[in-house]
Amino acid sequence: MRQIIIASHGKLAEGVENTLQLFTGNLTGVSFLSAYTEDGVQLDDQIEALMKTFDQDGALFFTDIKGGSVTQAVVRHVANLANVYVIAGFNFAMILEALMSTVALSETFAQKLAVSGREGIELIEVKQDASEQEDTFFE
Amino acid sequence: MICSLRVDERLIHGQVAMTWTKELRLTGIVIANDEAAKDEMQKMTLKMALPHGVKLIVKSVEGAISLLSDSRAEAMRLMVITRTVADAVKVATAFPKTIELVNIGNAGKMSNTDEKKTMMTRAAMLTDAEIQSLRELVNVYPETFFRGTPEMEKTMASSALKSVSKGGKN
Repeated sequence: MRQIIIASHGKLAEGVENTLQLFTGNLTGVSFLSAYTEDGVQLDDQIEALMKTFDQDGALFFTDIKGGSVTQAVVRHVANLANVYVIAGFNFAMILEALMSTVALSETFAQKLAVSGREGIELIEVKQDASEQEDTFFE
Repeated sequence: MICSLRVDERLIHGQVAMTWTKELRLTGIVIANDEAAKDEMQKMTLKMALPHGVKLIVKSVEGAISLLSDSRAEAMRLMVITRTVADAVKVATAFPKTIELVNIGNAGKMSNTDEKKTMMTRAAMLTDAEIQSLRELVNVYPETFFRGTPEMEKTMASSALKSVSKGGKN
């Protein structure tokens, strides 16, 4: 099955796991990689261990920040693998969308997640008259 | 049509917006809550939580019942959300046969009250008055169930009520 990996410097990935459990009981095929949290544990080894679970359904990495060493290490390992994608600079909405989706992994799908993640970020402006009136509700 | 009547003290939030909306292919959400209907700020934050392509209307409980009686509601796939079981009973009683799912999500964890509450599920704690309302709700809709999201464990309200009475709390 397709694998989804959330990878971060420190325990951000573990925090994402904790929050995801409130939204969905089923985290099958989802792994969390917290880098640099334990002495003697090498990031390269953590990534390689995860790669052993990959099959033809592919894998999608979400990393915490573009240009960070975690993203760099992940890209170094998976750059040449077929059907494995890396989205750098994740947010919670895009991870949730990826988990809820039943669409097979593809570059198009990964691209779509990157776009909807970006669209989920906005400055909230206070507007009045927010909800519909009856006529517009039924339009 | 009313695809679902849901009790959820958080009204529209992640569980509703991300999961139920897709699962039930909703086209509209009706909030039936007297306080929210008068509160423009709350309407704005609810609108913010709304997924794309889904309409929202915030009404008092009575206002929602009259809106749902409009024949145009038949053409939509609606979820009606109340904050309390007592309000859900009012909606259920007004539409005693046509609601497809009656569901309780999150209840009793946000309200500050000194009243004793009974844990029904991990996400729902009810006061004695709300438990009484739940009995009324189950009378109208025997299939009423507790469930956070469609993937989570489902607990029938009727069996949760049985264990409440067994505990000798009522």
